[in-house]
Amino acid sequence: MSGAVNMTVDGRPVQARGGQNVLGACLEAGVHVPHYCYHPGLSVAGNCRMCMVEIEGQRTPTVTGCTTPVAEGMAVRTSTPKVRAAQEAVLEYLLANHPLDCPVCDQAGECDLQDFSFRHGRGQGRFHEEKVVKHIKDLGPRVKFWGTRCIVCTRCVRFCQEVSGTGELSVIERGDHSVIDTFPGIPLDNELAGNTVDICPVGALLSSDFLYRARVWFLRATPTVCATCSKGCDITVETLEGEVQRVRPRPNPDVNEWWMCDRGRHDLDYVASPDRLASALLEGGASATSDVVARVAESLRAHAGRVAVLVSAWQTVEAAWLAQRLAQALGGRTALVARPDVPGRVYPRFRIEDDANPNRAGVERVLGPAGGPGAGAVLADLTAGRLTAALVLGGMPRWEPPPALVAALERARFVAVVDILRGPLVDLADAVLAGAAFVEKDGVYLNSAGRAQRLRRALDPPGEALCEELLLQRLLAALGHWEAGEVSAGAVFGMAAAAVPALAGLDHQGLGELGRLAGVAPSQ
Amino acid sequence: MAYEPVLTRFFGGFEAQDLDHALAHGVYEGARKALAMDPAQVIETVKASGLRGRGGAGFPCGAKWGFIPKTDRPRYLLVNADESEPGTFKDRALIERDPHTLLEGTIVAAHAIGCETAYIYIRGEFAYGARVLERAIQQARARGLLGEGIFGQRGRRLEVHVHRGAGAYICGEETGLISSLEGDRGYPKLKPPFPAVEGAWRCPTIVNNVETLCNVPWVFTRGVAWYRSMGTEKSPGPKVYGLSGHVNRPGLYEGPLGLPLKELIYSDEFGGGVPGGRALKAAIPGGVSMPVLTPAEVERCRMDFESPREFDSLLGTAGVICMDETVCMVDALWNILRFFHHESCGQCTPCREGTGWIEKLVSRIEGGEGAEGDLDTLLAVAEGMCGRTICVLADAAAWPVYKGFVKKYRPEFEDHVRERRCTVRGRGA
Ligand SMILES: Cc1cc2nc3c(=O)[nH]c(=O)nc-3n(C[C@H](O)[C@H](O)[C@H](O)COP(=O)(O)O)c2cc1C
Ligand code: SF4
Ligand code: SF4
Ligand code: SF4
Repeated sequence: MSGAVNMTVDGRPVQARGGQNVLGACLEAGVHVPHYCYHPGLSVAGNCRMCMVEIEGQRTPTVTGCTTPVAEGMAVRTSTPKVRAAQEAVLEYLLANHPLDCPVCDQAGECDLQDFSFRHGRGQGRFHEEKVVKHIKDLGPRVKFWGTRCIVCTRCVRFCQEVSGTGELSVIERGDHSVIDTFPGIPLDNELAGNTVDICPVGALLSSDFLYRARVWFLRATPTVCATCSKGCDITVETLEGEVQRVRPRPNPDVNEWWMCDRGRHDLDYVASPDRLASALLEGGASATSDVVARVAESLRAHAGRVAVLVSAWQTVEAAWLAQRLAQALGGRTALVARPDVPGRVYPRFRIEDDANPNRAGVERVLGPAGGPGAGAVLADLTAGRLTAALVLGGMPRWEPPPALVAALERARFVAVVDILRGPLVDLADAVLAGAAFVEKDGVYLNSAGRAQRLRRALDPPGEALCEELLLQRLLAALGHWEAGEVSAGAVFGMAAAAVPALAGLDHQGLGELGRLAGVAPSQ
Repeated sequence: MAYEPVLTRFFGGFEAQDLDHALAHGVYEGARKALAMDPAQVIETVKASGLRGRGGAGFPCGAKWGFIPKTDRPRYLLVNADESEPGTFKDRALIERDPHTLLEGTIVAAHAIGCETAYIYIRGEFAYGARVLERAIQQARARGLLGEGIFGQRGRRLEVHVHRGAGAYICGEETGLISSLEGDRGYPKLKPPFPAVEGAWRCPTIVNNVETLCNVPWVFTRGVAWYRSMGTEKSPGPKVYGLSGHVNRPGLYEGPLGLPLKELIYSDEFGGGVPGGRALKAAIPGGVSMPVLTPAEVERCRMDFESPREFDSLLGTAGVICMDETVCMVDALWNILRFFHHESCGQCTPCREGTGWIEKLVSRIEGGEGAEGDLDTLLAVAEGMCGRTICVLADAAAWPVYKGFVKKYRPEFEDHVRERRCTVRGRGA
């Protein structure tokens, strides 16, 4: 099936893969062919009839690109008069029963119907008949359906059949009354349901959460990585006025294909929670960050040789590496702390991981075999008084610190915590520094497959809060162990990559949009 | 030489539902002969007979059987008994009055393509026909004609199942039928792959019309030469014609393919002319999707797979609908378009939106609310539906508009628009 196939698209040589269809080959070659029902992650339905192309030397005037396999020597034309006539006709049919309610539709600005009509449609509609009215309803708790805007492309139906395998959606009725619905008593309520909103090419499926929150052209999109489990789905975080408005998957064939789960999609409330730490705290009262940094450095130095540095599996590779340096400077010991597993789930074409931490693999590789797995020995030493001070780099939302950890820290004579939310650890700490949530920082996470991917800062941390790699650089500087001055996460990563064999050869730039597999697996 | 009816020979009653009666009249003799031949020979014989599919498209039957690839996968034969095209009612009679000949044809076809499981997909409304078939299958099983070791040949088996549809015309389209049989929505499938290569449950599948299979045994009992002695070179064999609408004697008639349409409508042997001495205004040759013929065309048209093409029409199912001078062509077209609007499965954009659009447009014109430009829009919308969809229902809905009624009776449509009323029946403003 594979092997290169040489063809031309509008006269330009294009190399396609054997077994590919003409539309897929055109799109991959960067040739825009309008289409609705085709989605590279779903089976071919061929129902919208929009992706018409002309194949030179074929008897039929136009064919749908999505249903035509590529062939050696094939000459495809995407913009002949016949093609344009067919596209124009399909668009006119699509708009016949459409309510033309773009001004009040959330999809406006990212709607394929709006865009293709503008580019390929007739200026003036000829439909003067009574329009068919279809239902508007909630298909499930988070997905709302506007039948009037639906073009019955069946992407959503195929998604639920093929990717989630849950099959909640179906077309009911027929002809121009065809409409999407759920089976009675079985709402669209699976953990992948949010993807149906993303793949709906029009404003027929909308997210109940995002509904009427913002016009999409005002949103600022930042490519980053989901932190909710160790799969590390590539995502785009869209923000407006300092708040996350929407989270959507970014296609990455090696990680999440085109999808993400709703756990990750709706896991960002804590970022704007009233429990967020917006300033440093000393003995429970707000203090200047610089004072607290100085105090922490001083106290830790006083306990040199008896310091525990606990690094959470939510910290970036950069922060973990700086924490490691700090422990070395203080003659301390490191250990990893992580959220307990949350049962993941395997869908026919998507897997949610059990490990509810985004960077266990990264932190483990940096801390190495001795400092990485399990905090048991370190906690025992704290409890036994062999270690007397602790620095905890937390930053894990929805985390209940285990009683053993709390008890061990309660025995320590000095505890400093870097965190993002109030909680038991912040309450027991002598000094607290306010850190950044993953959407507020740059850095690198390694997912469960060992793929290094970049986090990018979509928002500023609240108030006085700072990214951990900055706080750690300041701590190191206060201890006299940092000569570099304050540098970016990228620069810190460069140093880490030079020092940690498992990260050899990687740098921020080189990770690009889709990340790269880190070289060496962590030794046990 | 008087024509000897074969397909309709039992149409006088229901006796042939009974296996003994059928056997006494030679039913299953063709199957016995065919089963003594090897499959390739059977296919060659059917090819030689020139038998063409009676489901509407006239595809050569033997050639279709020959498309079955050599494979170890199961193969299926699907008997298309969904007959839903308005004006078509031949398969129902064949099922109810001669079920054993249908089973016999099924046995031969199954042997030819190497299949052990056949399904008769029968229109849901044909509840009686389904019962008749179930009973005929039971009888044939009891006699060793179906089931294990059929016709006394050890190791040879054929199970025939009756599957009732749920009321959708589109399930008569062969791939819509397959989807429905598989338990899915009756959505026609993308072709290629064609069913012969990848059909029901993705296995090689042949879909044949009831009447096609009822023809098959005769090719073996009477032989190829006899079969070809009827009809024309390209359209040989006997045919069941349906006649409805404004004729004195509506009903089913058998004759050779190629019968002059004029004879079918006017001859006393068949339709006996238009009632009340009124003039014929239009006739549809074969199911409502086939473009209508004017009286002048009726004079010249022969009922075979070639002749209607001369008039931009097709034989289709040969279910002729006659309309006399009292019929409004706008109203007639509206009636037809209502059907297609109701029956479009709704997958393809042009068909889903187009069938409703043209129906509403014609309804408006008939209702006296037509406007300047409507006819041009109607033609453009209809033509835009053609050749761009997954199955040909869209074309079938569009042809009656731009190849049939509006093309051939345009002045009547223009009158409606100009006078803002139905100019034939006086309806509207
Ligand atoms: C919309 C549509 C409806 C059809 N309905 C029927 C039907 O009811 N019965 C039938 O035999 N063929 C029907 N056909 C034709 C079938 O697709 C197919 O060509 C036929 O069953 C093949 O059998 P034959 O080769 O024996 O004629 C229909 C085709 C279309 C496009
Ligand atoms: S709701 Fe959207 S994705 Fe689903 S069929 Fe309609 S247009 Fe397509
Ligand atoms: S699978 Fe994991 S990484 Fe992907 S979106 Fe869900 S929680 Fe986030
Ligand atoms: S042409 Fe019409 S009936 Fe046929 S598959 Fe498309 S929408 Fe369905």
